Amino acid sequence: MPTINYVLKDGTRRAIEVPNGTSVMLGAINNNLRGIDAECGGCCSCATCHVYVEESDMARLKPADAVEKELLEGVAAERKPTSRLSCQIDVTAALDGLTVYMPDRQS
Amino acid sequence: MAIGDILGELAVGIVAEAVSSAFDGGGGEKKPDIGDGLIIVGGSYAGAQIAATARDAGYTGRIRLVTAEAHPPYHRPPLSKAYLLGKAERDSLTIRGPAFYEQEKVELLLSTPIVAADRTNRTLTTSGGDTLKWDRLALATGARARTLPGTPDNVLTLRDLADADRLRDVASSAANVVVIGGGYIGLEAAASLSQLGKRVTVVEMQDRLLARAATPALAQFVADAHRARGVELLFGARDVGFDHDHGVLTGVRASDAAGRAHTLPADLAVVGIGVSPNTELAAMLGLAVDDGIRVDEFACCIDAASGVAVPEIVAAGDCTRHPSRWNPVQGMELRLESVQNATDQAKIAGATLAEGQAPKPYDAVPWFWSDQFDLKLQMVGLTGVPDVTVTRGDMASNRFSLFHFRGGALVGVDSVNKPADHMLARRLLATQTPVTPEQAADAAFDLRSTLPT
Ligand SMILES: Cc1cc2nc3c(=O)[nH]c(=O)nc-3n(C[C@H](O)[C@H](O)[C@H](O)COP(=O)(O)OP(=O)(O)OC[C@H]3O[C@@H](n4cnc5c(N)ncnc54)[C@H](O)[C@@H]3O)c2cc1C
Ligand code: FES
Repeated sequence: MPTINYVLKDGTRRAIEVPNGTSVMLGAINNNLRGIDAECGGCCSCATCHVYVEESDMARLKPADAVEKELLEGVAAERKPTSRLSCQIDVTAALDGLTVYMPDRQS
Repeated sequence: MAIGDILGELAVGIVAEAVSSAFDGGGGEKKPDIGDGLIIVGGSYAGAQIAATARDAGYTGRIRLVTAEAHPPYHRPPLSKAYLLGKAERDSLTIRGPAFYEQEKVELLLSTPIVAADRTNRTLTTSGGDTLKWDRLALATGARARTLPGTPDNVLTLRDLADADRLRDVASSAANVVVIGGGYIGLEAAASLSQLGKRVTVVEMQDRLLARAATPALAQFVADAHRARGVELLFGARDVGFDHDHGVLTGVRASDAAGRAHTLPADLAVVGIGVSPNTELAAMLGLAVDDGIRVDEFACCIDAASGVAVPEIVAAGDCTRHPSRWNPVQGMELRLESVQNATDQAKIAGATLAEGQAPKPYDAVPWFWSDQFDLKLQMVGLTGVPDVTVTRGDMASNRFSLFHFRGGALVGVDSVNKPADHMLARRLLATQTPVTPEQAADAAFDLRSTLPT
């Protein structure tokens, strides 16, 4: 199982094994990592699953599609070039070791 | 307008009178704790969020989340969308994973319907006859699908996972589907079943879709979109009936607006005619109920006899009716059926339980989404009957937003495949930023520039 590193708001780092075929969002939800709300459950409608991806990991991700890009314009915390919606990051073996940071707020 | 104002004043007047005259000890002061903590009835968005917020706000007592369903809280919106299409599986629907319940010490009592409630002794009774004691109580009982009486097999409603599994099962061998009711859930089911290759007809009693929940302009666009994608629509339906063979559905009968009778062959019918709030427990507890459990802006329930808030009992989500400045009928209490409302009101309810009163009243901008075919609909604000509507973007391209104005003020925005407009509109409404119809209609004008910095 790929390991995803989540850096929580207080700086704590949690390395979590997340099953292939799920999402970075679900990895956080299933392990009670606070900081990702995911109100729409991954429907790509709420923008409350915002994360910052480690810059050096960005190239490993499939680029955001048009809907995700538009939703990112409305995230509650600062939008950065590394901003992504974690429900749209599908976990695969290629993402083993990915690091994401929780933003200071989701709403 | 005038009637709305009068009704609004009446409602306010009644509440004010109740507060000043009748204090019989039914509400008002918080009762001392006698043991066994917080019980939350209803395991869905509101229930799970009340537990989370109560813990975050410092509540250290016992928390039990009691629900009739066999599953921990899960996301319902995919049931008519990705789950029905077979694109999402059960595991992906969890609202909070097992770690949440363990770490936050929230005891989950699944398959445990509560059948009776008592405020004097502060108890609940389960269907198995057990008595549960509480100091603080949260009602997050949601709503149930309205049904039609005496229907044959394969006439289904869609509210929970068990319904969705039954629907998936029957749909797998169905060819002809009739959806009764052109609201959001009916239309989503129609879109998904059509995408699965079924022949789908939507039978609607009104003369338009989404009569309760969308502006005519959006409803017209949605109707055109469904027809263009092969769904048939029958408006003004009367005398809806079912044909069956040994109790199994074979067809749906209805007459249309012109009085012509139709018989639609059907091996599956989905009834989407709205929901009823689950208010029975609130009524047993002597709490005010009026097509919804009445709550104040801090999510406290209200004593039915005195009209005074009951600080130890809160309610949130689809089961409630609450005061809201977003209501187009000013002064009237509002019942909403949405994830946003369940989640945001539950945050207030959880904080009220933990702290005596939430730091802020419930005031979040209402928003809602619906996915149908390739269309992502996102609605924000409660538009009522707008006096001006302008289109931003191009309707023909399926990417646009309708900006609705009442009395010169922006009151709601419906977006189709324009999530950026939707996200911006939420901020415009929340901050009450003045926007003109001209600015909204001008796609070259950057609406973000109007926001306060
Ligand atoms: C198919 C479908 C699609 C939807 N799509 C969208 C969408 O796209 N966007 C959106 O915003 N909203 C959507 N909704 C609406 C949204 O799901 C509801 O607004 C939301 O679920 C309300 O949450 P709630 O916590 O208030 O109550 P509910 O979700 O209704 O849950 C109440 C729970 O309480 C339990 N319960 C009730 N009474 C008792 C009792 N006496 N004892 C024990 N347990 C009890 C019930 O079994 C249930 O589990 C959709 C709903 C459905 C059914
Ligand atoms: S969970 Fe809602 S957009 Fe990701």
